[in-house]
Amino acid sequence: MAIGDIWDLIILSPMINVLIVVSHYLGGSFGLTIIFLTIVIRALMYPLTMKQLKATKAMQSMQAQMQELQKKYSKDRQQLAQERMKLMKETGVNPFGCVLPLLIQFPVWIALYQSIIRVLAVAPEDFLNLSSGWEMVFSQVPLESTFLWLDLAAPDRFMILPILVGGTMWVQQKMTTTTSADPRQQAQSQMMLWMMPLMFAFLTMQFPSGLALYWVTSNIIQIVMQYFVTGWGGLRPSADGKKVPAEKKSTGRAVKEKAPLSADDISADIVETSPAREEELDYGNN
Amino acid sequence: MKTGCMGTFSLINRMKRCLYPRWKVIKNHPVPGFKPLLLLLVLLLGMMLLPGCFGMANVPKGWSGVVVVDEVLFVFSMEGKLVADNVTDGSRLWEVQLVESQSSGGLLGCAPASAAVAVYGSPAVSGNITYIGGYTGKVYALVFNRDEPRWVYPREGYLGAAIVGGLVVHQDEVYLATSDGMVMALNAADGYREWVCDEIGDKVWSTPVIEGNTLFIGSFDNKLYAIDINDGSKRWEFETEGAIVATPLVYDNTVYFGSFDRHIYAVDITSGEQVWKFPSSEEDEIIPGNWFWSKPVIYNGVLYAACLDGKVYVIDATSGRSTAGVDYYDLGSSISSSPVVVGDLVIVASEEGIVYALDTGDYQKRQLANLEEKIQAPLAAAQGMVFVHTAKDVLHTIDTETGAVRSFTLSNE
Repeated sequence: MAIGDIWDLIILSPMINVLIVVSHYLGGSFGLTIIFLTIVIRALMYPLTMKQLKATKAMQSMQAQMQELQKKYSKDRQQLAQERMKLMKETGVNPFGCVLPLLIQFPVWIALYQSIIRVLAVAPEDFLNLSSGWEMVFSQVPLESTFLWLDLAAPDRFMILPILVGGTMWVQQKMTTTTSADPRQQAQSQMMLWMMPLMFAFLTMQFPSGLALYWVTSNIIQIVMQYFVTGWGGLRPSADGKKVPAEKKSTGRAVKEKAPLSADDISADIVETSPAREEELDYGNN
Repeated sequence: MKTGCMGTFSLINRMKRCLYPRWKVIKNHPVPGFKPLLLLLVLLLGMMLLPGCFGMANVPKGWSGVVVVDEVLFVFSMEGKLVADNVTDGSRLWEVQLVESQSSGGLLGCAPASAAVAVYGSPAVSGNITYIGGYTGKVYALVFNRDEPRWVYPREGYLGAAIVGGLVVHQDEVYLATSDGMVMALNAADGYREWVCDEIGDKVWSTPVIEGNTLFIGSFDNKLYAIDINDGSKRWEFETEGAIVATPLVYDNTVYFGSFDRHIYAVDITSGEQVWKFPSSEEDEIIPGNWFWSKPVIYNGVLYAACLDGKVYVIDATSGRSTAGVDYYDLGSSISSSPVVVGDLVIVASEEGIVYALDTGDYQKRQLANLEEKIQAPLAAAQGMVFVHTAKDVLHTIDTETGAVRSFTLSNE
């Protein structure tokens, strides 16, 4: 059996069947069906999501300890990294925590994309293949492809969904963002805060709006869950209404800005060093 | 510059020398969580490429049927090539490659910037011009033995909707329908649009049929439409309970067609009133088990309708009831290809690749050929031969008397 056949048998066909049957009971609305599917998937992922949110909350609570470490090992980046990892292990925080829920959803996204193409009669070959399924399934197709202003088989031509996807993802990221004394970590947080929403917004402009509807619904559910676990987090303004500033300005450089790089300095930016130079440096961990 | 295996190894070594130091930096990055985040970004990029790189974009290939005009057969290959062959000896008379400038699958780079045109309908031929409707939404008028089209429609870009059904040429006009529910007429000589009918409520995948001054076409909104070919106005519509993808058949002032509601309908072409419906009620003994996808045929007052449940239903065209001889032929495999009549035989092909001859005299079913290739394109017939274009892009010619088969690969080897 080819990989494609296995994928069809285990993931895709069951998903198509479920979508069609649920659509039948939701008055033929495929948009509502996608929202329902999202809720079910998030419900199934609830334990994992809660674990991730609690880890996020723990990360937020140990910021004071992180800052202590930062002060103590400011000159020794490697030791600082080791102490941080040790602290995370002790408190049970997993740096992979935020990645795992997304990784698990990847096959869901791919299967949903393919399901949309089939049940909404986009490509004739795929649609014809539906006729070989259950009678209850093929008697319902093709499904209604319009939902509100959307054609679920095509990208949103009014660009509302890309904004919603990017916006909700930004809010979700912002709620988990913690201010850090480490300028590098702060820079990394800022990068992820903007890069992920922009990337998903771009994807939304390319893919069928049915898939984007899934993302928006999923993000909103995540935001609600996050609020009840971690509160508004990074979205919360400070007491005087201003943003909570970082304790140190993030410059990406050491305090002595003009100090030349030494052989022991492992804080060099990837982009700024040359391969030859990097080969000379000893990063430890050999 | 090194070539072949040595060149490959040299390139790999250079890449390793370039990437390894960077990998060491990433591995020893002081910020925890950096690696998983980088992994996430890489995976997201992979997701953007996945639909194109792993065939998950379901790139349409088409299933063009064959048209035979004056000893020349025309067919559109799955590699985007219009082919014209001599019917008698199969020699290639002409071929022209059509390429579209927008990719039909994938997001970034994996699907090519230009791709072969996919065609689902059969070509339409008038004089020395062949008309083709491409899936990406463009109509081509190709002159025999020339590489450049005489005209294309639209002149720039694409229609924004797929053309899945075939084109029809009638009295110097080309008629087509699109998957956004438009039916339009183009001037056959220069490609200018004469009219467009936007009264159809959903996508159209079937091929139009013209009788007199009326065009008949079915839609996914469950309706069959009758449209005036002079100005594109709607004359009447007839509603069923399922989508209509099958091309209608007009015979003796009646239009016959199948629907996704598993019924065959006969409708008066003038009034749009139902003449009969098969089966007439749910209590009938014979209930089709799946969609009607293909165009029916009529011989000697008897309608033969092929169904995706693998059966060819035999119906009296006047009464809408099963005939005395046989209720249906069971081919054992789904039938999406439209059958043809050759002499007193109805030739039909199952999706699994077996071509049958149904004898209308003694109601016997005879296997003509087992091509062992998926068949979805409509059949064509001329000079006692049947032409079958399979999903492997091979054109088979079958002699209906002897069963002899000749095969020609349309794609480049």
